[in-house]
Amino acid sequence: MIYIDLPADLNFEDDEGRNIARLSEAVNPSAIHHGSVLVAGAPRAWSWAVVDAIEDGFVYFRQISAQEAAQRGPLIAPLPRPA
Amino acid sequence: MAKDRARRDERAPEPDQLVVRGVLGDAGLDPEDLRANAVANRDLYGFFAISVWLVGADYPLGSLEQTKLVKFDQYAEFVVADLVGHGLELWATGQSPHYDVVHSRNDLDALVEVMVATPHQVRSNPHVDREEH
Repeated sequence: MIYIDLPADLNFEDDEGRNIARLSEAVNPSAIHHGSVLVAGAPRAWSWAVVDAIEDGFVYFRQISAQEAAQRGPLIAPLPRPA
Repeated sequence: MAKDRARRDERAPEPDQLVVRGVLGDAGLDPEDLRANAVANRDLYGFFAISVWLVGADYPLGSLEQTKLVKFDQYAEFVVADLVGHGLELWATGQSPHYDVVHSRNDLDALVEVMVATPHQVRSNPHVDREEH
C-alpha cells in the first residue's frame, strides 16, 4: 500500500507547471515546508515530490524521481503516531 | 484574494483533437475527483475549472503518456467536439498543453455533470511509471 503524505490531483498545475494541493489535506501539515520530500497524489496516481512553496493554504510541488528523492534523504518516512 | 491565471493566446483546439485527463481512482472518471479539482481551482484562481491536457502535434498522445500522464495507469480520453458545447469551454491556461474545462456560467454542478456525461473512453497507459515506494 502506498502511503500518501499529501493527497493531490496530479493533473492540476499552476502557471509555472508545478502541481498544487491543499496543505490542510496533508497527513501532517506541520511537517510540510519548503524543500520537503514526500509522496503526493492518489493511491493509483502518485509521485515522489519536493515542495517548492507554501502560500495561502496551498502547497506547490514538483514531481521528482525516486532516485532524486533518495539523494535528498531517506525514502522511508516514519508513520505518524496516533494521537 | 484569487490569483491571476495565465491564459495563453492560442488558436482554439480543432473539433477532432483529443483531450485527456489522468484518472485518480478505481471508478473511472469520478465526479468527486472532478469536483475537488474544480473547487480547488476556484479557491486559488476564482473560477471553477477541471484540468486536462490537449493532444496535438507538439504533444502527441504517446508523449503525454510518458510525461503528464506518466503516473496514471488510466486516463480518460475525450474528443474536443464532444466536450465543448452544452455550456462547457476549453481555456488554454498555465503551461502548454494544460487546458481548463470551464462552464460558461461558472456553475460547479453543471461543469461536473456535463463533463461526466460527455462521451469518453477510459484507456490504460502503457507507459505508466510504477516506481517503487
